[in-house]
Amino acid sequence: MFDIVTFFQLMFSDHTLRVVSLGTAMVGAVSGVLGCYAYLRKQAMMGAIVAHASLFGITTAFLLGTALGGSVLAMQLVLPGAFLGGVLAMAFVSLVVHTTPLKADAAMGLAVAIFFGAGIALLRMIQSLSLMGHRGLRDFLFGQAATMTNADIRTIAVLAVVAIGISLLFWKEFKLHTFDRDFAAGIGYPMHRLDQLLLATIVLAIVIGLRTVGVILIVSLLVCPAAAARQWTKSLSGMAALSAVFGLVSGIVGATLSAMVRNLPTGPVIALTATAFVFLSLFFAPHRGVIARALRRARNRKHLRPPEATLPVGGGV
Amino acid sequence: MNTNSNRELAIQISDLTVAYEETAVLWDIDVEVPVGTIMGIIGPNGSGKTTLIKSIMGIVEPSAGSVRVFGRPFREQRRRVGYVPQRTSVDWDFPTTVFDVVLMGTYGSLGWFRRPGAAERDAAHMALERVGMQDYLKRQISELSGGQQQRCFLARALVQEADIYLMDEPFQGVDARTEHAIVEILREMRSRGKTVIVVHHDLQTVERYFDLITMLNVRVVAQGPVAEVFTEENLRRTYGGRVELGRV
Amino acid sequence: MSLIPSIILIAVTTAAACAVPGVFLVLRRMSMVAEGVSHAVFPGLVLALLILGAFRSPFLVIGPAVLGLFLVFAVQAMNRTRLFAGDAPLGVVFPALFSIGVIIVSRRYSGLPLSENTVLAGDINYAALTQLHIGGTAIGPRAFYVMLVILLVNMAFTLLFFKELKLTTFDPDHASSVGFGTSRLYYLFMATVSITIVGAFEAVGAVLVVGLLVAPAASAFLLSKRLESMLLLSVLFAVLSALIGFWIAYYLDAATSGTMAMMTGVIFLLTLAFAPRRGLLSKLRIRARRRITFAEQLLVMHLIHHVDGERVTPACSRDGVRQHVRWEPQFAEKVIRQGLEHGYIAEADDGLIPTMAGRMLCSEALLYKDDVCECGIVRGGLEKHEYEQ
Repeated sequence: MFDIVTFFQLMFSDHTLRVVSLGTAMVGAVSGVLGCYAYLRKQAMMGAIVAHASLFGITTAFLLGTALGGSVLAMQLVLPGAFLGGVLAMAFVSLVVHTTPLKADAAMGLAVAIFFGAGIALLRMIQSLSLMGHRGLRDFLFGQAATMTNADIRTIAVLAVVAIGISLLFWKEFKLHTFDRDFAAGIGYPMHRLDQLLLATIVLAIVIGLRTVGVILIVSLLVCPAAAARQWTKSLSGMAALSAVFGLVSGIVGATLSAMVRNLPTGPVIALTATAFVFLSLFFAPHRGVIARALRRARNRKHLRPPEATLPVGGGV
Repeated sequence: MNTNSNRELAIQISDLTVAYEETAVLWDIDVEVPVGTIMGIIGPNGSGKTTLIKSIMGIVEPSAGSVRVFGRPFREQRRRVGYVPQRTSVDWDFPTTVFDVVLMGTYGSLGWFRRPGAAERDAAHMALERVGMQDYLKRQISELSGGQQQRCFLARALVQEADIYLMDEPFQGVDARTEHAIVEILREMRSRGKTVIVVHHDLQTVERYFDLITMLNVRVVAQGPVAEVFTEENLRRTYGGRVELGRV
Repeated sequence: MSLIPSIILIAVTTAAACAVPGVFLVLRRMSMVAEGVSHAVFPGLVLALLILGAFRSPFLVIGPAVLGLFLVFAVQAMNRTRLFAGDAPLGVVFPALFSIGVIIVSRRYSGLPLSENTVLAGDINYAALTQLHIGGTAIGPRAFYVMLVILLVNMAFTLLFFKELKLTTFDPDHASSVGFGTSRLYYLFMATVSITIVGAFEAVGAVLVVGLLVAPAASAFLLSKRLESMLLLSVLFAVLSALIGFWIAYYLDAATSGTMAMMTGVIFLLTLAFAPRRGLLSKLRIRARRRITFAEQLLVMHLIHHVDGERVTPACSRDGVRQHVRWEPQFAEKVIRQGLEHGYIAEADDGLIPTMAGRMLCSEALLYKDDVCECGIVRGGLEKHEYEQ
């Protein structure tokens, strides 16, 4: 069914697969980079909720586009709609957290009820109306890379350049803002603006991946590469670069495997590959990894030295 | 408070009220800090010490009153103020090194989009040397002890090349050696005409460390030279019934 | 039983069964754990369906629920390594488990009553078709009885452990940690949550169930002061959402589960806007009132601070007030007028002075918000000259 030789043969011979892999690789790399911020801001689940909520934007935009100009416009509006849906959900969560005693987790659950609920209701309406092009929306549920067109790839490329460009341009600002809010505010950074810019870029990264990984599983591509990369490096730039590589490889593996094996959706394969990186890193990372730590403890015990104070602080729900 | 009226004021806070959702955290505060002094701010938990520091830095918007830095609004004097936030306010498992954190002190003068260059790196090296951390510059910050974390934060503030330094609990959870080193640096800064404001909670060391003291509990209870205002009566007022002092 | 009453019965019991544990999920800040569990049980459901054939056996509920507990354990184990920040372990584990489910479905979907739509939104109509038979007569949809049993189990659990649940929910020592800690009660509770989620899958799918768990409880939270009333309101809102949601779906030809979840959200939005104490409108009203009162207090504090005995100083003149306090001129005028009207301040020769009533107002203000300062500050803080050298 699958062997490494066929894998590479396919990679180099099949034109469609090359194009599709290029698309998923870009998706993985962008999620990898922006995922680092979602991870470090401790907003992993926020990524999941934003992705869920984008379904509301997708279906609303699709209906609006169909009403205004037919199926072509409808498909063109889907991505902007997804972006707005995600941003709206974030704004909603922030409103609830800031104006009620409810905490972020409940606000996020509410966002699922409102936005995903409305999205599902609209999706079923679109399906029962049999609007032209409604089958295309199915790809956003669990992700399907194989049906990507050249135009899809071009869209991904442009958005990827925008997202990566913003994160490079504001590299040191985003870094300081994420690490030490008080200090950043003290030297005069406009905290709300930076917050909005960073969150919007994270939503953009999620939206880029919706078509290939789907509204349920894109969170995996956002969180896993970052969580894995964190174990190997001690700098943010190293983390972002490694995370991009992990995401990129996940994307290529997902696209290729699902092209080779019949009835294998792309999204889940990408998600599982990304998860594999997390567990490999959890055990085998050279300094922080579980095995490295166990070895160090064993050695320390043998030499009867006091244990090093190398446990990372923080973390943990 | 006329004790130092003949000296130039580094910071002048007048009628400052800060409220969160219409509940006052600071009520009508007046504080004056003359140039070249070390001032301690003490008070019980929730008395508004950190809020006071943050409102000097413009991080918290006051409901009323004003803060002037060398006679002008803080916004115009931002570069002249260095800041050491509470050590516990950041995630020390952030993927970054000691050197990188210290470099962050240059971000304010760098402005948008510019990356730190050779001059900034030199400054960071010098600051690390001053706090005795030059051997740790490549160290991941999660591997530092409390004292080392605090030195790292202090070095970042030193890089800011400011005239006023605001420090929020710099001695919280640090070892005795670090505490001593930090105090030495503060004194040296004072001798070079810098002004230092320190949020502090260890009443035992107040008399040794500070020239001036502000005793805070939502309002200013007392303010002035330590010898004059650091009295049992004022402490009782500041801390209510629960001052647990071996000293007084 | 005919289709429409069957659908309504399923919708109502499903919503109600979710609303009970939802209360504790919201109070214990565990809503996102439920989001994880709802995805994690999916591969279990798929496997159970493959093995057992259809939604029939009780093992179909209990088997997959084990996966929900597995997620809880796995996330806790990952947290214990302290290698991951925030809620990342949750974000890593649940998509992985869900992916496995999706892959199994896509590889072997022959014979499985699971379309993409069912996975995401359930299929309440299909569920209503499967009637339970006793002695050859249909006595109603099977899913209704399943959810009824789960509802009763949840209610029994809540009643049985009411004291413990209440204690662990409001005990400040536990408030900072997420969940109930690692107590047996916590796992028992998560087991009931998992079972509820699995039971609800047939009707509402893997994602929307989080909305049904969290939203009614969140609305109830904004309206109630006591745990008992929060539980009752939560169930009431859930039933209401189920009924309204069903009719909307019926008329629009939309997915019932989607409109149900949406209605729980709409009820929340209404509560958010209009709740008497915690609602936005009443908050705005209270704030507007507080803003003036607060400004009056501030003005009096300022005057107390600057008045020298009973004589005014330059800071007490109208100009002085404006300069020191830095209000907009009109606002300052308004506050001064109000202060005079209320008798908190009085007009003196060259400015304003605080009256006895004003001093009382401020002492109240200080006492009122007093969790930090005790008597010392009120006495010592009121009059500046008292403590000034």
